[in-house]
Amino acid sequence: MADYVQISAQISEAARARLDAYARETGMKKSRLVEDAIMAHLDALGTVPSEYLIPANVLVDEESWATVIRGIEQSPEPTPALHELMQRHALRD
Amino acid sequence: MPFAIRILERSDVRSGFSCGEPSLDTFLERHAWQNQQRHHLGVTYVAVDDASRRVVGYFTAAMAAIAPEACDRPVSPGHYSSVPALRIARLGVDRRVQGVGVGSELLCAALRIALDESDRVGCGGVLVDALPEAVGFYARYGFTPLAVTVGSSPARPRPVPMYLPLSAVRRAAE
Repeated sequence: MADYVQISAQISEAARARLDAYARETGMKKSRLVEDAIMAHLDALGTVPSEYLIPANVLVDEESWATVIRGIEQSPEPTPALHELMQRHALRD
Repeated sequence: MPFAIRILERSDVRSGFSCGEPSLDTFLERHAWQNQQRHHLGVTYVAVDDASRRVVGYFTAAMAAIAPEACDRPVSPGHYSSVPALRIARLGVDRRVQGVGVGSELLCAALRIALDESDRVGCGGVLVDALPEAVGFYARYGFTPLAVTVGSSPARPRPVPMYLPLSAVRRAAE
C-alpha cells in the first residue's frame, strides 16, 4: 500500500470552489481528486503530442523512388546557392 | 548579431520564440527538450544569441529510411530496398531575425550533420518537411518535392516533403 504524506499549498479561491463543488457532486474525496489531478498533469507534461512525433519510415511512389536512387548513382550538380552555402562554411572551418 | 549553432541545452531561453507558425513555437517551448532528453526521438539544434542565450532559430533532426511503396516485392540483387536519410522535421527562425541568414545557417548545419552521418553510419540524402511558404527557400538549394505515401509528417499546416541527395551536398562542399 502506498504511503501518504500531507502537503500544504496555497491555491486560488476559484480553484478551491471548483474542487469543493466537484467533490460534493461526485462524492469523490478531495485528497484523491488532488492526487489524480497532479499525476495527470505531470504525465501530460512528459508526453510529446503525436503531431510532433517524426515518422521514421517513409514510403514514396515510383517516380520519387527513382529520384532518390538517381541521387545515389549519378551525383547531381549542386545548385549555385548550395555551392555558395557549403563553400562559405568551408572557408570558415 | 553573433550566434552559435549547437544542440539545445536546458538553460537556453525558449520562451518568447515566435517564428510565425504557432506549432513550431509550441514545440520548441514545450516539447523539444523532452523529445530530445527523455524520448531520444530527435535532436533539436538551436541558433542561440551569444549574449542572452535566447534561441533565435532551430531545427529538429531525426533519422529516417526512405523506401518504395511497393517494397513488399523481393529486391533483386544490386537494387536498393531503402535509403537512410536525415530528416529535418522542423526549422524555424524567430521573426525578429528573419531575413539575415539564420535559416540558411541552420540548413547548412543540418547538411553538415548529414555529411558526418554518411561517413559514420551511412546517409543517402536529406528529407525536409517544408512549410508551404518555405518551399522556394529549399528549392534554391536543390531540394525537390517527394511524393510520400506513408510517413508524412502529421504536423499542421501540412508540410511538403522535399529531398536533397547527399551526393550533391558533398560535391558542393568539396
